[in-house]
Amino acid sequence: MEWAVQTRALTKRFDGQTAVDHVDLDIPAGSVYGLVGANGAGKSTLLRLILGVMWPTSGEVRVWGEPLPRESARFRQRVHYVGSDGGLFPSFRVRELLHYASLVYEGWDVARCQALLKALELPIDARIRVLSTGMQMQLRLAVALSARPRLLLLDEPTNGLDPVVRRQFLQLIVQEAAGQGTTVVIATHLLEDVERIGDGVAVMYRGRVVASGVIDDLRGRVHRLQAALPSGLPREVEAHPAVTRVERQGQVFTLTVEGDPAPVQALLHSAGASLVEPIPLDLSDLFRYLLEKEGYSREGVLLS
Amino acid sequence: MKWLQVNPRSAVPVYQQVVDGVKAAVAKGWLRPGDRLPSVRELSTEMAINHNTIAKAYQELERERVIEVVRGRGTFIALEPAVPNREERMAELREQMRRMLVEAHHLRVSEDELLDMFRDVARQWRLQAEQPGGRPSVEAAPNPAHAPPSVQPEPLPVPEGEPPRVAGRGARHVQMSETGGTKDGVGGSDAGVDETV
Repeated sequence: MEWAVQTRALTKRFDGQTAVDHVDLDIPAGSVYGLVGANGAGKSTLLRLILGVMWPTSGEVRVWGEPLPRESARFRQRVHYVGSDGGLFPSFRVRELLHYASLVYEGWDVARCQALLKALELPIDARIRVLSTGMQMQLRLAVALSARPRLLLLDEPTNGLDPVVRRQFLQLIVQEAAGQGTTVVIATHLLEDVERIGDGVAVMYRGRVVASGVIDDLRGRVHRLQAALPSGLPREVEAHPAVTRVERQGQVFTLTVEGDPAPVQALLHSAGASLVEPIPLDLSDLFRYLLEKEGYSREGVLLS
Repeated sequence: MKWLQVNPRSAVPVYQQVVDGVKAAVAKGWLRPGDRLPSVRELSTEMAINHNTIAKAYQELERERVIEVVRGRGTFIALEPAVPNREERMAELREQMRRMLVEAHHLRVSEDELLDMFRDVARQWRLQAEQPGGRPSVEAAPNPAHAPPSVQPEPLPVPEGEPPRVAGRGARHVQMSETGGTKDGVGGSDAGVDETV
C-alpha cells in the first residue's frame, strides 16, 4: 500500500490546550479520506499540520513517505489546501485570480479551468469581494482542481453551499479522485458527505482519533438484536464475548453485538426468544456507540 | 427513470446496494443482456459516490457474471446468464425461505396464506417491472445483442462482426438517481434501496 499521508503521535498544543493529541493516521494514496467530528475536534489543525503551515509540538507527519520540508514551495505545487476563508484576493476579479493562479502553479490545466468555469457558472468579471460565500468556495475549488494537485486538503468545503451546488461539488471531487488518482482529505462535520464519497474515515473528538477504518467495513460491524424473553436473558448470552451491552425494557432485551451476530442469535433462539433480526448500525450510530464505549460523554459527539 | 438507488446513510455497504440494484434491474428486465452500463468513473461521478466503491460493486457483479467487462469497449450486462456458485446460492435462498416460515409462524400466517402472499408479491413485482416507462431508455441504437441467444459461449459478449454500437461515445446512458439522506423511496423502487428507519 502506498500512503499519501501518515502521521505518528502527532500532537499540537496551543497555550496548554491540546488541539491534536497523539494522532496516528494512514491515508492510502488515491483514496478519498474523511475526517469527521464536531466543531473544535481538531480537524482543521490536523489539516494545517499535514499542509505544513503549522509545526507540530511533537510527533511526525509524512507525505508520500517524506517528512515535511522546511522549504515548502515545491511541496505546495502538489499539495493544495482549500479552507472556508483565505486563498483569494478580494480586490481581484475572478479572471485576474485565475490568471495569477495559472502563473503560480506549474501543472495548471487551462482546459480543466475552462470546463470548471462553465460548470460552476462563475462570473468571470466580478470582483471576488462581491461573490457570495458559496461562490467563493466554488472559486477556491476551481483553482484547486485546475492546479492538478496530487493531494487535496479540503476544510469544511460544503459549508454554506445550497444542496444543488453541494452535490455538484461532491461530484467534482469524486471525478477528480476517479480520473486523476488525486488523494483527497476532507474535514467536515457532515458525516453524510463522507459516507457518500469517502473510502476511509477517521472520527475525531477533542483532538484524538477515536475511530477509523474503511467505511464499507465499518458499516454493519456492530449489530443490535432485539428479543422478547419472558423467562429472562440466559447467562451464556449475557456472558458471550461478542455481546457488549444489554438493555432491558420489560421482557424485551436489546443487545449490542460486535462482529458476527449469528452465534448470539442462535443462543437466543434456543432460549425460546421469538424471531430476532439483527439490525446493523449505520455509521453515525456506530460512532456514537464507539464514543460512548470509550467513555466520552453523549454531548458534543453528535455528528451531522 | 430511477432504476439505481443508493442510500449512503444506510447500514448496508454502498457497494452491496449497487450490486443489488443492478441485479434487481436485470431481474425486472429494465436492463437487458448486452446493454451498456456507465463506466466506473461515469457512474461514480454521476451519483457522487466513491469510485472505489463503484469499482468494487462492478468487480462483484463481474464475479457473479451479471456483467461483463470488455476491454476498450465498456461494461455490459452479460449475455450468458451463467450462474456461478449456484448450489451455494440456492442453499442460501432455501435458508431465507426457512426464515420466512419462522416469521410467518409468529405472525399466525398459515403455509397456504404465505404461498398466496408470495404469489401476490410476485404479481405486483412483475407489474411494476412491466409498467410503461418502467424500463429506462438504455440504448441509443438497436442492440444486436438482443438477437435470440444463438451465439455459442465465447469470451466476448458481442456477436461477431457486430460490435455494440451503443458503446460509442454518443451512447446515452441509463439515468441514475438516488435517495438522499432522507426517506423518499418514490417510484415504487425496490431496486436495491435499503431505507434506514
